Amino acid sequence: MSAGLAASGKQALSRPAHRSAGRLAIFIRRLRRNGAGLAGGIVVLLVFAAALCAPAISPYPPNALDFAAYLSAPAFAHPFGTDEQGRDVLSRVIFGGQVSLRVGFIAVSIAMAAGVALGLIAGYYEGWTGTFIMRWMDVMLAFPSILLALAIVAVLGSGITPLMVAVGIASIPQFTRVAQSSVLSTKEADYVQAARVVGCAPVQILIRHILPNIFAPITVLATTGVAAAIITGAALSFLGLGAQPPTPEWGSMLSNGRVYMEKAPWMMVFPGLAIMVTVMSINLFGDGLRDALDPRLK
Amino acid sequence: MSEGSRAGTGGRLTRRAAIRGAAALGWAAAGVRGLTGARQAVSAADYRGGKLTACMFLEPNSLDPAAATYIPGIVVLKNVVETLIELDTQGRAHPRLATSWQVSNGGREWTFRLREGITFHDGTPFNADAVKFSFDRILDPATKSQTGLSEIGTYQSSQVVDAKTIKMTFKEPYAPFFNNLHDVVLGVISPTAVKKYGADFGSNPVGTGPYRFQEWVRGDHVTLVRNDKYVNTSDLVAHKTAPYLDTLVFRIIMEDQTRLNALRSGEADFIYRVPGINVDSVQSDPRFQVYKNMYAGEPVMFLINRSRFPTDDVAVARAMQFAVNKEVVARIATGGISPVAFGPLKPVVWGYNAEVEKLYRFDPPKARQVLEEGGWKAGPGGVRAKNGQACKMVCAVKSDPVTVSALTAIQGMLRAVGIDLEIQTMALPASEELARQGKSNMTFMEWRGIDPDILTVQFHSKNIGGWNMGHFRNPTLDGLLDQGRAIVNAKERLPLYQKAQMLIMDQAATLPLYNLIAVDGAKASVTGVRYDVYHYYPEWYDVRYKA
Repeated sequence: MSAGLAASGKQALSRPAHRSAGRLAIFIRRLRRNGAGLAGGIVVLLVFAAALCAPAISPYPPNALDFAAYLSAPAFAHPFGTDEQGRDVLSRVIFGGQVSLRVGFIAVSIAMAAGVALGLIAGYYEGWTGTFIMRWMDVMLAFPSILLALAIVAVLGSGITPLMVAVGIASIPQFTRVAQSSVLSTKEADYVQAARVVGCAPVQILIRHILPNIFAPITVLATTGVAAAIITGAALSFLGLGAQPPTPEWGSMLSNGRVYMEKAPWMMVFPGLAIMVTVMSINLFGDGLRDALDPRLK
Repeated sequence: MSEGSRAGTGGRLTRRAAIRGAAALGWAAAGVRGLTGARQAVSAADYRGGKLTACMFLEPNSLDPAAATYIPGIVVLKNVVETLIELDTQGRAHPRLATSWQVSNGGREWTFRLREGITFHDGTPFNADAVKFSFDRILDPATKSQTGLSEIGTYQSSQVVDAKTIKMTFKEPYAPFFNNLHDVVLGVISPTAVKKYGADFGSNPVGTGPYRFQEWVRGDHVTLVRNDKYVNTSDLVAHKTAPYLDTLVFRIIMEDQTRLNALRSGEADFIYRVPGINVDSVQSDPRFQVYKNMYAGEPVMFLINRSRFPTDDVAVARAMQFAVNKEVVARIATGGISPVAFGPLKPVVWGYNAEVEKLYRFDPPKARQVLEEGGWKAGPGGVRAKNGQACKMVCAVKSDPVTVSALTAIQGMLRAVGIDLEIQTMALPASEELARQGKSNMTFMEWRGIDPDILTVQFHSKNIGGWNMGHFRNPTLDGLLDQGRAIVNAKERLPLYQKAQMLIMDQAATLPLYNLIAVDGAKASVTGVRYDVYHYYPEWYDVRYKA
């Protein structure tokens, strides 16, 4: 009898976190009211679609050399002009999106997975475990993320995979921070206390009860994190530590273009714009998301 | 890659190369002079004083002549330290700190008569003891000399005959030694200052030159000031007193476009290495003048590792020669300023063999044919394979955009004939380390020098693990190069180096790309700029400039 009560109690307790249908409707309504956020979201979707359909929509293969078209200015045949190898800049910008977005999302996935896990543990076990994790994160936070990523790339070597890992690791502390503080504020909530009282294991409490309730801030952070990761990835590629030639990547295109800045500004302008538009849209979308998910705004 | 030296660059900024040969230079220098195309400068003809700021492309590794390896250190030291002899543009030797010389014992002994009444900047008198000290010191491992050690060759010791006479002894005759003496790496320094500063002498050079060293702020600049007591002993210049400028500042700006902007904004009065792509616009701007020099040495090239798969197969190495369109590479890397190269030496080096130009021309079908005949059959993805192994090679290269651009073009050209090239970009020292270990199929190389003996540095098997980064091992070539440096007679040396060049190209040990023409830029009002015998850097002694 008492066991049955406990079980049904558990179920009832976990429900608030899953009562999401209504919330989702509110969220969508709020997001739609936020013009900038919506526009950002649409642009992000477009960039995504372009990257996914790159082979279909690019006018040329990204690495097709055409030395006769050396530094051609934008024209009908090459709307974004060509680079010093005669490659079509538009096609390279489109394909470059694949690399940049991949770097952004995979790096954030790495950061989120590791960061949230560490944050949950640090928040739930406040003792020496938590202190150890958080002080370690403070040490990592003390370094600018680009510096940290540089150091990691120096160890792992250059290339896209090391780049993603480096940017991912460098972004872990932010996620840990946010997750830990959210856990701290959530774990004293009645439903968590109740879950503990009815005998849920810590892992179950963390995953089933706490995690869904810190989902909002993590999502917002992940969104802006993608933008930051794209920037860091491009910066490392700009320095020659990321994508290796001939892979099209916005940062390395920018770096290559600076040599020809005077004669062929389009080589820098378009990859630069691509980075700016993508990052700005993701940030706008992230802001919209934050407002829409903010529980204080009912 | 083009411009000699972008971040690290450009070529090997090392100076070590230079092992020069007797007769040689005249030809080299005459060939280049036509290229030096500075516009006639204006105004300030009699002006004395003022400060000139010149922007270098790299930080000196040391300002100790014996330890200086990179060009910027040499550029600075040329003004502070003097040498026993100097060479004119025809390659003839002229007295400087030495007034006369004599060779004896079959080239094993050199005796120099030294000039009197000269003092170092710190007041120490210049005499035979100072010369002995400066030369013996190069052999001391604690000095960590690289370039000096290579230029001094088989030098054994010096004997002070009297205060103004010194006799140097060599283990074996070493042909390039005498001309090497014009190089500031073998300059004479103050023994008192070396004792005073010890290991810090590299940051406090003291010589007898027209400028005194004042300060070196790392990563930013080196400042020199006029040596008011200077008397020029050179018979090559009309002006014999102290230099015209009060202060000479060498700023260090590694990034090409930033350095160019320093000239444009007026922050710099002179810059070393105008980026190739921007030469037109600087040249056509009446505010500036440019100096174009095809300095002597090796062309910009990629050494081909003939000991590593798949370039250990001569068919692959030869096919690369036919597959690469050098015109395109030169245009990408230098804006089309530098002519393409066919051999391991620039045409301005004495002993250049024009026969190498007949060996390979851009001809992709021929490249495919060479590969087919070598057993490399078309495989999956268009990459050829032999005995089940794909023709895939790797090139570790400095992550300088121009070098990478040129290499990307080469990658595309090789791919078109079925060779897969993977480019790995990294810092220059890391790429050189991989090359030394033989882990790169292609290695960026460029070397200065006015004697064909520089081929020893890149192609003699004794330098494998050092600057023979193509790990090229050929006993016939080793023999030719060894013989060449031991013979003093230029006529006898010539055929040896001619054969050596043909052998290197026949074995396709390198992929020459273009004969780099270095372009420096200055404000139009800078006058009196004269280039050294390499045509590599300007001398500042006669320069006048009014801000």
